[in-house]
Amino acid sequence: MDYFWGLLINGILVGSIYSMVALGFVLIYKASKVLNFAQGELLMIGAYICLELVYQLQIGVPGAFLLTLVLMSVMAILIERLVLRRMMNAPVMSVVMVTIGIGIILRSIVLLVWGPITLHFPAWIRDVPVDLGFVRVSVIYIYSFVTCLIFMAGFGLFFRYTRTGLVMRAAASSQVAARSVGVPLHRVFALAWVVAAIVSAAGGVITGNIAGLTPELSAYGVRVFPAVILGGLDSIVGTTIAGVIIGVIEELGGGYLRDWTGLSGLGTVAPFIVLIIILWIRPQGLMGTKEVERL
Amino acid sequence: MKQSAEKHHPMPNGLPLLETQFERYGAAAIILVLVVGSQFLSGYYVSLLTTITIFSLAAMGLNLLSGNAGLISIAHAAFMGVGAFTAAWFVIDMGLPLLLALLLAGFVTAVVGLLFGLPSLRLSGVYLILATFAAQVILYWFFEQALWLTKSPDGRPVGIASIAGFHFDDSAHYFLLVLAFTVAGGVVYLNLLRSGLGRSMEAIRDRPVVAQLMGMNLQKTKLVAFATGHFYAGLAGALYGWHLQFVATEAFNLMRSIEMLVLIIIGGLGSLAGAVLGAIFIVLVPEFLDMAGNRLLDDVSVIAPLRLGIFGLLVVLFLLYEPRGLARSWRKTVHLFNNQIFKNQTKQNRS
Repeated sequence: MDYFWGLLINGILVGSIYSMVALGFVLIYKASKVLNFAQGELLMIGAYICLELVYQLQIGVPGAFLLTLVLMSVMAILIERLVLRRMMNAPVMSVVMVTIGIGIILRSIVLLVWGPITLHFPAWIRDVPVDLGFVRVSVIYIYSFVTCLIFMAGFGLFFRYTRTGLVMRAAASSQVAARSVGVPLHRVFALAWVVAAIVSAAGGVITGNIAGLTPELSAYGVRVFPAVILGGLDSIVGTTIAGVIIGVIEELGGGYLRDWTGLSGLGTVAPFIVLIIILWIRPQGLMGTKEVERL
Repeated sequence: MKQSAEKHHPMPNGLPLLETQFERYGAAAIILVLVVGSQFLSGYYVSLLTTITIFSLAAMGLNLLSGNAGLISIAHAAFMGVGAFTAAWFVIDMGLPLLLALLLAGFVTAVVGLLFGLPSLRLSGVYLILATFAAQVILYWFFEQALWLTKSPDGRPVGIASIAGFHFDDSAHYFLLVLAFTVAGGVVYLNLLRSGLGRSMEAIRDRPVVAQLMGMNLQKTKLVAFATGHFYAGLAGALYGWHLQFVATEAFNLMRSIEMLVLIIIGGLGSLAGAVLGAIFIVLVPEFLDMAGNRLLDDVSVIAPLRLGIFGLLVVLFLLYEPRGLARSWRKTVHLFNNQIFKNQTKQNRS
């Protein structure tokens, strides 16, 4: 039973990172109908930038983390301004491919500058296990979970109570209506990219602190897809819940199904099998808008 | 390519397979040069030619799917893998003849494609993109796990192709077989495009509601496009297996699927020329970059990421500045050329 609880708690903690990264993905999709395939690469490069700042400036991980968020915001604005804005009326395929292209460029930068080897953050939290009563978890997981909660709550409040948040929600719910009442759409798109870059970088730094940095971190970007489909492509609340569910499926899948089926790597594949099943039985996801084209 | 009957009895809808005399003679000349020329080339160049030809065939399928019907798939390489492994299984484990196995592999791939794509064909395009992405991940994992089919996680050797006792131990001979399939695939592709079905695919891609109002069957058309596109993928994948004489799992990874999409975008969406030009580009440019890289730099750890970066940059720049691909650049050149000749002719007529 301890094994089960361990996997479950681990799944929830990992899932909270997915939820946070998925927030950025859904936000860009809602604001501009762009599927951002560079999300994972944003996460990866955010982590590497933070690592570089930690070693170059000697300001500790929290300070470097905040500086990283600023740098990532600048990068997001550049990406939106230089590439995505010119693609505003392009077909879906071109937009998807352009984000894939951006992802490839970011990945090659990481490989050129830092190489394919695993790098580590300096240990700045003493890694002591915390006893939750029924299971013991590493304290760094608790930190990561709390950070994710803070970020998501922060953005939740931002969308709910600020004027800018209201404008973004307006643009997300209807581009045409928002534009007709004077919402500057291109600024909303840029802001969506900034938010996506911030949550990605946060996810990257957290994962980097837990498991070390490799270019493989970018895989987190695609692991968000099942969460997004499960939660509903245009539902931020649904995606947040689904992120945790996918994290749990991954952990339980990796932990139990391997013993039952003798297949390795089922943990990472299981969420994608769930994705296909969801598309078969409930394509709008848990909380998404139903937009099935009946044929 | 040209059928003599066509000249006197044009198609009821007035669309010949290839529109201009230039294109007809050009296609015939290219095929002739390839058939004869390939027999004199060294193994390295024959291998490049074969790869380009196979990729052209696969790209026709993806172009039909994504370019003409607007159904975007990020799993084309994985479906090529399905074709390659099933064909190998049919020939080696079941003892079927090669030609039959190739066709069966195409059918199996079409069915597997439908399994993944069917639910999202009812939804908007973004769902299909994510569903095909899932297909890529699941199928690749399947190749690594299903050892009854793939023999080892890295893939399985298939040996030399042979048909009715004839062994293709000369790679130039195998190229002819590949070329025959690709030319046949090209004729089918062109034929489909000029048919009502092909044109309703494009109508549904551009204006689904209007197309439906005009009585086009959305579901049937999407299904046919999906099945046909994956048939091409399976066939091309199977041919690729015997080209390398080894069905390598790694050849069907996500990066290759992305490359296939880049191929049709850089080549030109929705046209045969796009598939071929894109295939030439996607095979020759990395080859050239490797050569240049090996000359200029000796550090392998720099060449590979640099190549990747140039590839990504090319994708972004093409989408920004020539979103309709090389086929459009090619057409512009041809039109310029034709106009020039036409001008000269009118001048002669006047004088």
